[in-house]
Amino acid sequence: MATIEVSKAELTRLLKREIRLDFLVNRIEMLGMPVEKIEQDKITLDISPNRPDFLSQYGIARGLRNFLGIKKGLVNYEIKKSDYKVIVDPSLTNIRPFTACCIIKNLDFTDEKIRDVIQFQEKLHATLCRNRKKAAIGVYPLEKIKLPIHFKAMNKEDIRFVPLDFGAEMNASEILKETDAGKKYWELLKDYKQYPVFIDSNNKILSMPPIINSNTTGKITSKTKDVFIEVSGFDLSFLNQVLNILVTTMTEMGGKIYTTNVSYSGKIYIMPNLMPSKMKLNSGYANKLLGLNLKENEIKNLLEKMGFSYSKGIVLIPAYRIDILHQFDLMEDIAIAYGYENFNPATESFYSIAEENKIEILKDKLRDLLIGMGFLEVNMPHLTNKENQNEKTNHSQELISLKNSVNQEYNVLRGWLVPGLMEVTSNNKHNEYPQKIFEIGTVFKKEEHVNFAALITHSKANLTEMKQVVDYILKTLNIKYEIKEKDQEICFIPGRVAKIVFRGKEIGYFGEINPSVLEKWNLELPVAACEINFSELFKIIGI
Amino acid sequence: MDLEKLAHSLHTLERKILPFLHDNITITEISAKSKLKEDEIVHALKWMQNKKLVEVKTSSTQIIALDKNALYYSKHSLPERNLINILKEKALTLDQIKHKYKYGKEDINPGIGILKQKNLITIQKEGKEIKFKLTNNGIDYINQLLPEEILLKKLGERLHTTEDIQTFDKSLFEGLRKRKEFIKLEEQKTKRIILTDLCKQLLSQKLDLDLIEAITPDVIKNKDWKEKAFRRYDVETSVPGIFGGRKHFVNEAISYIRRIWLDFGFKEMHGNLIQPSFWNFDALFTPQDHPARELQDTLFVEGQGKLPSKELVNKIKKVHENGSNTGSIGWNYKWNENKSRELVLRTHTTVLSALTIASLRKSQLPCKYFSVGKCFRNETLDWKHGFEFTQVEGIVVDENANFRQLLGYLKKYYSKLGFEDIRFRPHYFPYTEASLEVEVYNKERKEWVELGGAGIFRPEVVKPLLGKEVPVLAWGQGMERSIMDYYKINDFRELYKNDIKLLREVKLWLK
Repeated sequence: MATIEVSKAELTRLLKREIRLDFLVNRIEMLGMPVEKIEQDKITLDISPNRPDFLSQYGIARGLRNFLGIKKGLVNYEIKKSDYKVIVDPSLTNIRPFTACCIIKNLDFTDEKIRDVIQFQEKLHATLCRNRKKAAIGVYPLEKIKLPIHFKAMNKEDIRFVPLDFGAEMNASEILKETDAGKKYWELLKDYKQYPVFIDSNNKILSMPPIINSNTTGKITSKTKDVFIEVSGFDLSFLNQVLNILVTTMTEMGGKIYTTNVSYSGKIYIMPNLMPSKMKLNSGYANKLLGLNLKENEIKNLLEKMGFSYSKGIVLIPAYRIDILHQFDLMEDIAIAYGYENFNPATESFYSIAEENKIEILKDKLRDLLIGMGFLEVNMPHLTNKENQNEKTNHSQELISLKNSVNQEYNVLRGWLVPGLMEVTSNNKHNEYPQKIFEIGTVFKKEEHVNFAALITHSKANLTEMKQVVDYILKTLNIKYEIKEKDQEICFIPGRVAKIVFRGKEIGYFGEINPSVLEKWNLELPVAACEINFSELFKIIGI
Repeated sequence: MDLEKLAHSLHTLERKILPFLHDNITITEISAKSKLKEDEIVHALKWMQNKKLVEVKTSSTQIIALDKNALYYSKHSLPERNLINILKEKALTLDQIKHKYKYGKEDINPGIGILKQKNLITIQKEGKEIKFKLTNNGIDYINQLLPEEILLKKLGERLHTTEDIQTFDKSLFEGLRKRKEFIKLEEQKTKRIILTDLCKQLLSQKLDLDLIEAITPDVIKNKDWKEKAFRRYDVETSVPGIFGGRKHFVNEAISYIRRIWLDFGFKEMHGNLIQPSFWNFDALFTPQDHPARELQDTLFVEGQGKLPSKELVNKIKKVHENGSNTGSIGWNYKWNENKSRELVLRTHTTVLSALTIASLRKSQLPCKYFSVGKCFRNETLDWKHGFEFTQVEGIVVDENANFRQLLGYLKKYYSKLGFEDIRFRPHYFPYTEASLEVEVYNKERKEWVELGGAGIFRPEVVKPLLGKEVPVLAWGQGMERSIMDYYKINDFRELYKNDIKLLREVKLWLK
């Protein structure tokens, strides 16, 4: 989720209304943007991925203007026709085939506005454009460039320009190696021999998307009034959506939109296309889902509070709303406009019979037995490390690894529970003895299953005491088992480890922990432990 | 308590020491007279204090203790004694003395100094050699203890306090005291007993009662209890603690939460912690390039998962790509089957809801399911987050389900957990619409705290899995945050620290 910072003063200016801070915060939150923190005039907001149009304060102001009823309904964006031309070269077909572009004039840039535009662009890059993987945005000062503009692929060696905020000309590979953007995004171009460039009629390179603009032709200053905007990538309809979000927001900044004719092998697209899309809305459907009984004019009013327009079952969706996939989405917007706080929670429901999961039932029964014998339940993480699971317990089982854990101490899944219990008692040497602990939890072998393990430690803990526990549990569960000597000792003392056998199959084991293992855990008192395959018990018992 | 009752409640030990008590007596003195061990006396006095029979006054005195060198020399004799012994036959040079001196040769020079100063030896020249020789005074001490030796012996025999110093030769004592690590002064606390008036009255009572101390099988069998009275206990006295076995306190809370949903008539879901992305994400209409599916958020497990039937995989593919027959336009991208095989540690229990819906037959509707289970995320541990956390999941699959009912279920659930002041705030999830976050108002921090998400499953989720579009109310509520207040725990890590003291002593979940 992206966060953005807005100021109350700026929102007040954009809304042309004086609004109390607490009310403003509440309205912003109830429009769907959680407030992270408030520091004096500055409000930090979380913007969810479905509303990239809220990634700038201009978009938020537009949303609030509707939501607060200052100006409801669809915004009509005026688009002026022009002859500006962008020619997309077929050489890009397998590299970066599409661009969507247009011209915005009258933008009287100030330092703040420049910052706003750059920030908006970066937020869009990070979220909607998936770190420039899906699309990259470029904004250029019109006064520095000469149209028509060509979008084409060039050999790496032939690409030379001064990258943004640098002093000297570089070639393409230097740009990828030396600029911050190059270092961050070079992988997006690594499969290509030729790189995409925007180049103007003076034969000056404007940019090398998705990496960086030129400092000469691609840097906006406070002298800039008019800009050329392009979005390049792989899916034209997506690029148009990104462009629409950009241009409608820049209009909120005071800009005027001029079309660009983008030519693909002679086929001309006039951009941008800000025609609202249409969607049918069945008001009965929305009412039923919401549990409301809204009349048609109420629905119309609520939709207008969210920036839509409505007429006779048809909703017009503004071009910056790219999250409306289904009338289901419109239902949510109606709910938000109605106000979640205004819904009356219903209590009626249908009759149904509860059913507890049987594994959970057996877990509780086993817990009761152990608690009755004075055992304390512990709760250890499923994630652990190889040292605990194998090295410190003389085990050599294969463990399931995680591919990408940020915690190096927690990068495998536990294969058994005894090491977790050893860890607990090792961390609790300052607490009173005897210590009797147990855990019932999931372990990960080839199949994921539930195990149960118990541990007893005090100055006289031994196999007999643990065997009594095991006998008591298995007898109470009415399982016909045998106890045999176990060959693989793992963490136990040779000759003091037993396996529990049911119909020839080992379902668990117990014994006295080997002093060599105790040493590794810094333990000074004898420890007896057992581990039993709980899922296997569950199958045997068959409840 | 009247005196008779009091007499009956005296423990044998108390009765044994009572005759020896007088004001200002010390424990050591009682021990000497009663022949009881000091710790027995301490116990008895403690009980008598509880009965208001005695008061214990603690006074502190400085005691003179021998330090390590003094202890050493008391055992091995002082350097001056060693020198007298060496010189008793004839005068010797320093080298000869050194040769004969057995241990602690560094003591020779100071020893000679002391003997010279006390005029017990003298130095004489024999040719070129300088020899040390006992004086007549010195010779006197061959068979007689030195004053230092006498004092050391005295100090070693019994404890002396600083008050005793006046009985010693002052310069002799100071001389010893100046020696390195010879004498140390230690503070010693002495407990003195003061008898209360009650005790004095009690002493006038008949105390040699024949009471039954313990109820034993013999006492019961021999019918002693018919003739004799039992000694009365001081039932108010504290006893050593014991610890029983207990459920982990988080699991106590989970049991309660499970019961809430069972009471509401929900069936419990259960499933694996490792899931293919297909169920964790794709079936829940989460596009394959969604940020939640990236490495920094989700824990990926080695290996490849199994996919369900080709038919269902195809349906999910279509719904992602173009919305299929759900009425949606879909996400408009090319869905990749391999990506859906990637194994993850489930990031939410909503995966169980997806699996459950896929397994439902239409005849089983309407129905309600819940689960309380562990989920995972790729996060470093801090006070607010863990990489493992518990989610409380629920779905209501019903033609007539609606948003108001969703709010109703959540409201009831939280009121059962003790949260009355909650609100529902719009939120976003890829798989629900009319999505919301439940928040509770934290009065101390003066802010709304997020507890969990909810919404109605999108048709893009339900229709491919169930075969038709039915409203499904769904929620996945964080569990830990909603129980931490009760236990007064502020740090997430405390919940799973497994501190045995906390596990033993934390208050019960009384809901």
